[in-house]
Amino acid sequence: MEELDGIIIHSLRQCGVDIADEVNSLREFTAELTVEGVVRCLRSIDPALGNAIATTLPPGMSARFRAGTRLAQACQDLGYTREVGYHTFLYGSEVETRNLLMFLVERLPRETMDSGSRPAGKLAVLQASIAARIREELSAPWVPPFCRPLLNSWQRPGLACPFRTVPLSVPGDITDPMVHITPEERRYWEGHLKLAAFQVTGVGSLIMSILQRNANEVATAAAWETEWSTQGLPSHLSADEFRERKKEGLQKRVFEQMRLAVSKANQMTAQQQTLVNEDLQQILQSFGTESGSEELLKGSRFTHTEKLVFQKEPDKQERQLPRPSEPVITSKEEQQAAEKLREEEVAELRQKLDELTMKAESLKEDSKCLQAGIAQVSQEFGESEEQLTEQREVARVRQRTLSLLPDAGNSIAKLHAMVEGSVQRIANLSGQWEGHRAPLLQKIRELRQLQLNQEEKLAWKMTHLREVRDKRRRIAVEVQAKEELQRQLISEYDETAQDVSRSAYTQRILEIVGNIKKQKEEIGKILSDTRDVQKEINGLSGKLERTFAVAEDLIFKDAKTDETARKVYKHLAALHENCGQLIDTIEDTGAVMREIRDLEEQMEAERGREAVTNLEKIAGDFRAIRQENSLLTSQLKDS
Amino acid sequence: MQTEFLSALNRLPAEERLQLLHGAADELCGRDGPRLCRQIVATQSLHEWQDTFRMSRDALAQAAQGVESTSGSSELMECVAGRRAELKAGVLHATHNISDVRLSDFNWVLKLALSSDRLARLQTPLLSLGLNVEGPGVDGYHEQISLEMGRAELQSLVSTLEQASKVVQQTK
Repeated sequence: MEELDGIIIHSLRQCGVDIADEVNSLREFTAELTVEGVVRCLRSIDPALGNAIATTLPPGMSARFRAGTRLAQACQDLGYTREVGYHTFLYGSEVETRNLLMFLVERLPRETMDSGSRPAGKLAVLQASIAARIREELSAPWVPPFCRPLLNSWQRPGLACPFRTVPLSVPGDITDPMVHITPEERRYWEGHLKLAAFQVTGVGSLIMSILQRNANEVATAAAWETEWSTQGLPSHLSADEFRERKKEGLQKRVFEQMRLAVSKANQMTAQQQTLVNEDLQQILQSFGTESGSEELLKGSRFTHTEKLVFQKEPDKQERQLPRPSEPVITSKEEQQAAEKLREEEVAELRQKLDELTMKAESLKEDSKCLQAGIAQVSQEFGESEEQLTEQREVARVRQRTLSLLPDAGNSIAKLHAMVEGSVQRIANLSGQWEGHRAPLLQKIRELRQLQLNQEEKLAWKMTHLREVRDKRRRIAVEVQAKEELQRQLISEYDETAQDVSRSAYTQRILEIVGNIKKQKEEIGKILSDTRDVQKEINGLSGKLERTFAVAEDLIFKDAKTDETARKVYKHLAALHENCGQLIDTIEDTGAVMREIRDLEEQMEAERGREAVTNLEKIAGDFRAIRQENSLLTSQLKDS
Repeated sequence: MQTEFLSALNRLPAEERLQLLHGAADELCGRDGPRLCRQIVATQSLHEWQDTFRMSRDALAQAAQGVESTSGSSELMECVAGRRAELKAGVLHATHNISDVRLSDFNWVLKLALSSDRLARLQTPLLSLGLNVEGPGVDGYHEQISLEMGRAELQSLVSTLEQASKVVQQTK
């Protein structure tokens, strides 16, 4: 019974009933505790049913009675078949309460029994832990700042330090034979590389730097993995080739962007020309034109400095103007004159500079034109050279023909012979060619076939490889998810480990079942014994009957003649009758004993129900109800 | 410039040349440079040492970019060969930061405002975000921008930044 009570109390605690730790059995339950437990269970089983009932008993007696009746009705609605009424809650015995609570605990939905319905996943666990931590911190009392260093709590100001990192330098894996290590690297790692703890100084923090380095490497590997599987593999390139090609593409792209930016900047400067100081502008423009085509990267840098200079320029001018250049000048007029002079000089110089830059521009243009002219002329020269060699060739052929003209017939015959020889030779050669060609063609065809085969094989291998990679990724994801689940389950298991353990329960149940089996066997044995005894009794009584009948018969025959025999017969009859009476009495005694035992059991049960105290309680409650009623009637009269 | 650097480097004692170069390389890679130690001050004036340090930093940066120096010292070559990848990454990082101002670091703190001067009970979460903005150059412009935002403002900020990130992704 104690274990059963333990289970019931544990379940009630899980439902949210506040049961004190020293309560170990249902005997110690008060009426309030019983009502609260029943209502909480009802709420868990059927919220609509349970929410209508308050968890605490009202103070008024009649209200208590009504609450008890309603609770009993709710329990019957749930399907509780035993007797239940308001008295179960208000004056209930231990047995009744246990039966009712057992019924309710069995009906409890599984989710509230085991807390495994929380959402899975690392994020959910993290969020739950964050929420728990914040709740804990919010519930902590506020502590004045000067007391905080004494406490080891979150309110200490030193804990909230910023996340500052520095890049760390870490030596490579010396044991890895795949990585080639130069002797310089080795010397650096051995002689000059400081430990990571000493690389971090000043603002950075070691743990944060290590975290960042690790995160960086993980992110880089992940990004490369996705890119390689989405773009790299279908391109049929090796990893290095793919990297090379990507680099080229990026460089081209950067180049384009730079060119665009430079041209845009040049347009902008042209528009701004009227607004800003001109000579500076020209210098910048010259920078722009110089660096425009050759060094695009630097050009863009110049445009940046250009922008910066534009921003800073106005205040620079302001700064320049009021600065006293000649501290010896005392009178205002002289100062003005000097300033005027200076301005004139400046204007003159500026004009000169303009002229010079114009001149330089025009000279540059000229030189460009001249260079273009040189290029054209050299090209023409090349063309005419080519023409010359052609003409020379033609002239040579013509000279040979002219030298052959005087001896025409002979020459023609020779020519014919030569032509014929040539024809023959051509035929010969073509025959040879055919002879060579056929096997070569055959070879080409074979090679082509081979190539096709190989390509097919390659394609098949590629698809296979892709499948394998996909599979690998899937499996990795699965493994991760499973590890996640495992970790979560382990944490949950650790949480629930303090509860009453399941295996102990099952062992106990098995023991109980074994006991019951043993008892059943014993009962069977006793029953068979009883049956044997009954049989024996029946046999004996039958034997007695028969013996008596025979003896009576014999004696009755003699009794007609013999006086003593008649006496004997009478005695026999009396003996038989007395013995019968004796047996009846014994049987009656047994029945009475049984009855007594029944009555004693009933008495025990009644004593268990604490009828006397309950009766007193009921009487008291009845008086209270009466009092309330009289109060109410007097109130009614008053009103 | 190169000869100047070499002569300045050669004025140092031999065992300190490599040390100085590695210190300069550390600074190029984004860590703190070397501390002034007593021996260095004993052999050189502070100004000289700073000049040498700056020159060696520039020389390392050039060497890491692949500019072949005709009269590079053996120590310089040794240093660059030993940590080429690291130096290249550092120089690249500097080149990335080509724009006028850029975000170099950020920090955030989540706060719960319990009350204000008007309301006794507020219970609003606030995020204070600190953005460190830097200009070009090693010792350039520095500014820390602090923002404090409520939930809605933070969401609008995050969505704006996401849009910006999408645009950046598209240009890749």
